[in-house]
Amino acid sequence: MTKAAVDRVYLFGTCLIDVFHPEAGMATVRLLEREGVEVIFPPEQTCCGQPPYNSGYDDQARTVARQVVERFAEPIPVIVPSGSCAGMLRHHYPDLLADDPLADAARDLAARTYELHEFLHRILAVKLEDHGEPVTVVMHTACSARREMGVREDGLALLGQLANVTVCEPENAEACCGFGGTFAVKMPEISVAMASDKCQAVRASGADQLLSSDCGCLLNIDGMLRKQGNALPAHHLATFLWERTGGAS
Amino acid sequence: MKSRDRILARLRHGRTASPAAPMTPPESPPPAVTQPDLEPMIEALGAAHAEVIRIEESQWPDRLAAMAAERSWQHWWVGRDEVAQTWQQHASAPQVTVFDDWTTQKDALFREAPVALSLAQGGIAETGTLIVESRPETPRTLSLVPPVHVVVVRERTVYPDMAKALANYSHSGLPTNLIFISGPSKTADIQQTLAYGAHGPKELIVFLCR
Amino acid sequence: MSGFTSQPDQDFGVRIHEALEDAELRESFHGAMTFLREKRRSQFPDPDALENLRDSGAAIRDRALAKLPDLLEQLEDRCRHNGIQVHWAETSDEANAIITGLIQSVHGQRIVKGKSMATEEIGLNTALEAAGFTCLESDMGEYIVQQAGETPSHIIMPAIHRNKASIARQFADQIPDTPYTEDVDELIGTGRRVLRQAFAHADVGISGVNFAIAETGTLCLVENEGNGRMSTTVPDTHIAVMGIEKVIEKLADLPDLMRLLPRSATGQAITTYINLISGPRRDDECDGPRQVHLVLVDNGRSRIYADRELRATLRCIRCGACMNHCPVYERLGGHAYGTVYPGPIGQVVMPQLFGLDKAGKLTQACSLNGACGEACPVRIPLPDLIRRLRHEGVTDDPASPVRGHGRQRQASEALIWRVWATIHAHPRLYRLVTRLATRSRRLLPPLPRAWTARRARLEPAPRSFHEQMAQRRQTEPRP
Repeated sequence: MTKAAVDRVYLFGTCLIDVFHPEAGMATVRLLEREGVEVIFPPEQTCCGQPPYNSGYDDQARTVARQVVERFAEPIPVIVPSGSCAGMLRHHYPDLLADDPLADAARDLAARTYELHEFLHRILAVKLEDHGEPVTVVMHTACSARREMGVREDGLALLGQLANVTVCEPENAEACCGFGGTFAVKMPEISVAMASDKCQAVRASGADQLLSSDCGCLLNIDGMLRKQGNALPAHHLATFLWERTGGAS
Repeated sequence: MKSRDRILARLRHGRTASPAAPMTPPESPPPAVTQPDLEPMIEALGAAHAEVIRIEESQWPDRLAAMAAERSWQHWWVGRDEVAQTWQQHASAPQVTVFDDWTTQKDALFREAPVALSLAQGGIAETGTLIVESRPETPRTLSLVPPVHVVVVRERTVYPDMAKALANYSHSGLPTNLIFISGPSKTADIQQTLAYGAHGPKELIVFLCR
Repeated sequence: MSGFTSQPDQDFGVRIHEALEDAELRESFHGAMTFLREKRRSQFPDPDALENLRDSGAAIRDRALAKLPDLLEQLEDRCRHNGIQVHWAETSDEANAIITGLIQSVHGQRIVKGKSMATEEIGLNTALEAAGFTCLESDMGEYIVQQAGETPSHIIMPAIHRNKASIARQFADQIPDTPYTEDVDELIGTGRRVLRQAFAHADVGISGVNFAIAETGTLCLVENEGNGRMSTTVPDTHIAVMGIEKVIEKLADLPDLMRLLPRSATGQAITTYINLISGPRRDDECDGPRQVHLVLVDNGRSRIYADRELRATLRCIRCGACMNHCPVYERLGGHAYGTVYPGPIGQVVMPQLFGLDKAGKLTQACSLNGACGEACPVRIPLPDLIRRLRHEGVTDDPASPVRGHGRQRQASEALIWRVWATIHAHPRLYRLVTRLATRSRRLLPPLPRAWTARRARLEPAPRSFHEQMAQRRQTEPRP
């Protein structure tokens, strides 16, 4: 796919952005629109179905997944501002719906699903102009973005375009932050042990702000830092990119 | 029905009931060079804590005699291979025990054999590996029990990699015991600290002969 | 708390708590795992070459599994031709009975064992003790662990949970004439001295098998210490024990697996010894065992084999890379799992061997971060298999192939997901719920304490993204 071929995309907003970080959703829309891409946000969307899927409740996940497949039916890219939800659509829907009448549609959807930063960087090849003051940020790439989607470099490359932004990663960057969806609630002690280590590494980085392209990790790390009274401004990467680039076209 | 038949029947039934999607093997790697570069072998053996001496084949006995004097190696355990014979006839008149009777010599082997000398049938350049076959003239414990093992290996028997080395045995058949040795015995079982001579030789000296 | 159990789910929470509270243990594992990951990384400098090699490893193991029953018959045939006697065991008990019988038949008295996970799995040491035999572990790590009355905490480095000071104390206390020293060379020297005596006088040696080659009837054993060679060379009788899945088709399959196994396991390019055994001592040979036996153990593997997806479990070459890369294993250590195989592969193997009713909870100790799947040299899709087993744990499908299926299902959780699905399958209902959530942010019932104990409360935004987009559609026409 080339940039010229893209003038319309779907936005799959994700449930965590919907409730906890709507500003990241708005930033996503604006980042795409600034590139001349029309963003279609089907209002009937809810969630990708990952929480029950990862808990073993495949039937419930399938109920929700079918609706996503049906509501994002036009043959245009589906943009997801989350590595883990994008991974669900791209890698798990074909399996989850393999024996469903929608199997072909699920495979088609999977093939045109993109993580936001992957799409901005690889397909739209955006050029970002930094309008902000010098700042150091620590970027936490979610495991799903890093491994399942393979988009760590895309997020870092976009940040790298911002002249006044110094980017670092926490020590042991590839280590899971301990969120894991329902894992954080089902295995709280292990999750807390992992999150504590991640918070320590984030703090030790000395950065002024924490960024992540996944809201789950952000809620986990930021939530623990705030409880510790040790918080630093924490944003979704899309929010940060939009704000730094002044919102102008 | 015996256990064997029940196990095989279950496997056959499982395979039929749930056939696997065939997996495409990757393209075979490019053929390795046939004339192996010996530098990696020397480097790898050195990194594995072995001592490598590259030498003309006619020269190793003199060099070994000099090393023996220096390091007070006095009593040699050997098999009946070529290097054993050469060494026994060396001018330095080394004290040699020919190891060829397990029943009578086993206790002494464990108790008092300080240095073993043997011929390796080949080598693997890539990994710094000696190929040692069990043979009537080469007891397998010779390369295992004495704390120092001196090995003679000829350059022309060195293969570039393990695939080439094993291909040779696919044709000729395997000995009862084929051993690939890539350094002295070692362990890191205590707090990831490397220690040599866990159970086998603490020292491995390799004469790589032209 | 370091024993294996046939009911790993029982007290799993207690073991997790104790492990996380043990600062020394966490320090040991953090150090060891970081060390092993770094070493592995340094062995695979070229990512493309690594991926090619993993493709090859997976294809070799998959091809062997596709032909498994035929290869086992071929292996048996070639082994017999080579003079290796082959025995088949459906269960642990049968395997132990066969081995005990073999020892009795040669009037074995002194038994040494090389490191073997298969014999840990079948509980051989306990079975031999019950039959009046003592079997001495000869791998340094296993020896330390056995002497302390513990079980291994890692499949490659059994004593990884111990530091040298505690081993120094143990040796000084338990081995006569041994002064306390933390010098690792001296500690290993002590082990060498004790175990040499055992090797010299052993009449039966027991070992595992890394791979068995069907084409040639050959047993391949991989090690660094030489205890494996001692155990398989010095005693008159050698008994090798192996899971039926460990067969490979051809000698030519070995090199790629050898490129993967030691590098993935300990970050070594190659192990000190690769020991290929194709028969007992011949008449014209001076040494080597007079009898070689191969005990093929099923113990539930043929059941795992029957499911196409779960079959990938059997590709495992027991390198331990999955646990070395698992953030949960790194923090818990091996003993918390209560299983012979800990970490991700254990979370996949154990529920299938013991049943989901007894070991299904193990599958919850995973954040599905994918690090294990990425590290696996034979591309076992470990996260997918863990997720699959979670599904089998709660399914009410009677056709589920896994024992104890559905036994992890809790009515309360099932209800939560039914309600969840209803809400998320009805967009208007979903928008009503999220609207309520955002409007009554302060009135929300507190999230489980599991979350809030160490994290700030989750606070919904004042207005949801859906609402903002709906408003935008009205007030801010699209460009």
